[in-house]
Parts: sequence; C-alpha cells; structure tokens
Amino acid sequence: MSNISMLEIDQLMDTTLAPLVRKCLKHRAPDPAFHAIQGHNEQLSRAMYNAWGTVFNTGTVDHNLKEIIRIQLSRAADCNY
Amino acid sequence: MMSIIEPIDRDVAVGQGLGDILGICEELGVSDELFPRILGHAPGYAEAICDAMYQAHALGNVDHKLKEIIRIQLARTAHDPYFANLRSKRAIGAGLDEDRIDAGSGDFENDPQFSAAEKWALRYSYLMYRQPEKIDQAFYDEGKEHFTEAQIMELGGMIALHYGMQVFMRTMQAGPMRGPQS
Amino acid sequence: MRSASAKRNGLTEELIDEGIDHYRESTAFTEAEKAALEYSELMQFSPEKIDHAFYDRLRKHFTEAEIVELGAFIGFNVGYHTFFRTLDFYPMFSPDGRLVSQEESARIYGTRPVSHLHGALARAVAEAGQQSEEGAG
Repeated sequence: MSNISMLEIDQLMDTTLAPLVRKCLKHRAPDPAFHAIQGHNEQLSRAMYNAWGTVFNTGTVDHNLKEIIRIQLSRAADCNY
Repeated sequence: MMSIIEPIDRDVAVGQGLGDILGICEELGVSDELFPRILGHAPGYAEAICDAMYQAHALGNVDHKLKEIIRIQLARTAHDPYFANLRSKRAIGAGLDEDRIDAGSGDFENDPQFSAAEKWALRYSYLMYRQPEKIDQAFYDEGKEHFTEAQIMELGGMIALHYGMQVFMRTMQAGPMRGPQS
Repeated sequence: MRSASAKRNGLTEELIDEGIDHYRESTAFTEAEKAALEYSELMQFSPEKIDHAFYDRLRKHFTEAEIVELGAFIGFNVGYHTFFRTLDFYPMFSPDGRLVSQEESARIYGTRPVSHLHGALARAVAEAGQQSEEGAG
C-alpha cells in the first residue's frame, strides 16, 4: 500500500531499532510507522528519530504549541502520517 | 553576510560539547561552523540535527558526489545562500566540479553525463518541493529499478532534512563564514 | 498521529483545529503563540517574508534560544512532512489507541489529513466495534 514497503513491528524488534520502537509504542509520537518505513536503513532511522525527538520533545517552548504546529504543517503538506 | 540570529561564540560552543561537530564541519565543509553555532542557542539541537544531516549526506550507500549535487540543487530551490554556497570537501576531492554541480541544477533530464539512476535521483529532489504530487507509486517503482528501498529512503531522508534546514537558514539571510566556496 | 503527552497536557482536537484554522482571531492563543503559528505558516508558504522585522517581533515573545528551537523544529517538519506525504503511509495507531493495519488506518483517517473531528474518531470506534462483533460471532 505505501510506496516503500514497511517493516512489521515483529521485524523491527529484531533490529537495533527495537528500543526506539518500544518508545514509539508507548508514547505514540512518533508513531511506530516512523521506523517501519525508515527502518530499511537502521542507522539513519535512529539518527532521524533522535533529531525528531530532540526538536519535538526538548527545549522550553510549550510542547502543546509544537504539537499544533506539527499538525498544521502536516496538513499543509497533505501528509497522512 | 551576518546572520539575523548571531551564532554563539566558538568558545561557548566548544564548552557546550560541540567540539566534535565543529571538527566535522572543518573536515567536510558542510555545514561550516555557522549552522551549528546558531543551533547552539538551543541545547542539544546542534548535535542531533547535525549528526542526522551528516549521516544522511556523508555516510550511507548512495554515491556522496550525487548527494552533494542534490544538496546544492535543493539549496537553490530553497533560495538559501548559506547551504547553496558550501561545498563538500570530500565530494570535491573525489572529482566533483562546478560544471557538474550546475548541470545537476539545470536540464539534467536531457544531459547525457547523468545515468538513468542519477536522473531519477535528481528528479526526486527536483520534484519534492516543487511538485510532490508527482512523486507517486509509479515514480517510486521506477526508482526501485535503480536503487534499493534502503537507498531510496537514504535519499529521501537526506532531501527532507537538508531542505528543511535550508529553509530555516534562508531566513537567517546569511552566507558561509568564509565566503562562497563555489 | 497525536502526541500522547500533549493530549495528557490538555490539548484537544478542537484547540488543534482552532490553532490551525483561526489562530489570528482566536482568543484561545496568546500573542506569543500566534507569532509562533505565523512563523510556521510563513516558513511553509512564504519564507521570504521572514525577515529582520519578523524576527524582531518574535524576540518580543521568545528568547533567542526559543526562536532557534522553533525555527529548527518548523524546518524539520517542513522538510519531513512533504517527504512522508510522497510515501503514502499511515499511522499504525488509530485515534482510539489501537494498532491497526495500513488498510484500516487509511479507512479511518481518510485520503487527506483533516481534523479528527471530521470523522476519524467515529470511524475508529465503528471499526473497533465491527471487529469486536466479528470476533464474538
């Protein structure tokens, strides 16, 4: 269905991304599909996840404001994820 | 060109633990110190973002020279004078020259110096922020004739992160610290 | 996709929609928040309008560190959402918190990313109910 194949959760749990996928399953942001689609390249998926987590979850700007901005930009880009 | 947000002092950056990042900047040339020292205002941001950008651009399985052409094409699309005027020392050392860089931002579709695979990759970056609706299943299926899915995601991730940072740096209205390297 | 922590912090779908569609005239947002939302909108659609004057306006509400934090966050999302859009994939979690297939996720969320108040929540509950009935049958 997606234009690049997605790894299953079970498959991801056999990779070095397993701890990150567990976090996604717990916090739901990013949704685990982040690794399912990027996990073809584990190192890069980890680096992108780290960057995503840093800009979204750290700092002093209100997290709720960032969440509104994130969704605003996803709608602007027509991104279903 | 002075950046609208001034970079933190080099000493402060090193004190924050950005020494390794600054070392990579010196070695590769993309980015130079300005970018991480601007990000350095927000603790942790420079390390995370610069590491991801480096991984996507300088490492991986797709030819670095091709990724460098793409990076510059994107920066020109973003109208960002900072990243557009930086050059990867590794790519230049491997033989990439300004003529080929310009060709990648020009009529690459009809340029015989690019292989079918390279043309697909250049088209991928060209369309992403101009006509993303054209990057559909058929487009990706064509890409899979030339690249593995891991390589396609390497290209896509690089395009996404670099373009996003180029748009941000465009608003800084800055150029490279040592002047254009092209 | 929705941040669980933002939800726990009281962010509702109504406020999300207000922030995206009506922030300028809304009383639900401070001037600082409105400036940040405008920063995001401009970065996506008109980055040439983000100039010295705009950054001076941001500085009335945010520290330099916070502006860099916002700018980097927005830039990351500007880049990534367009890329992700081209991949045509959906969240693995439904709005009601179930892990679902891509096919079910597409049915729930629809072909375009709109407010979850426009049907996604109801569809998720309906799908869950249908699966429950099929399981019991």
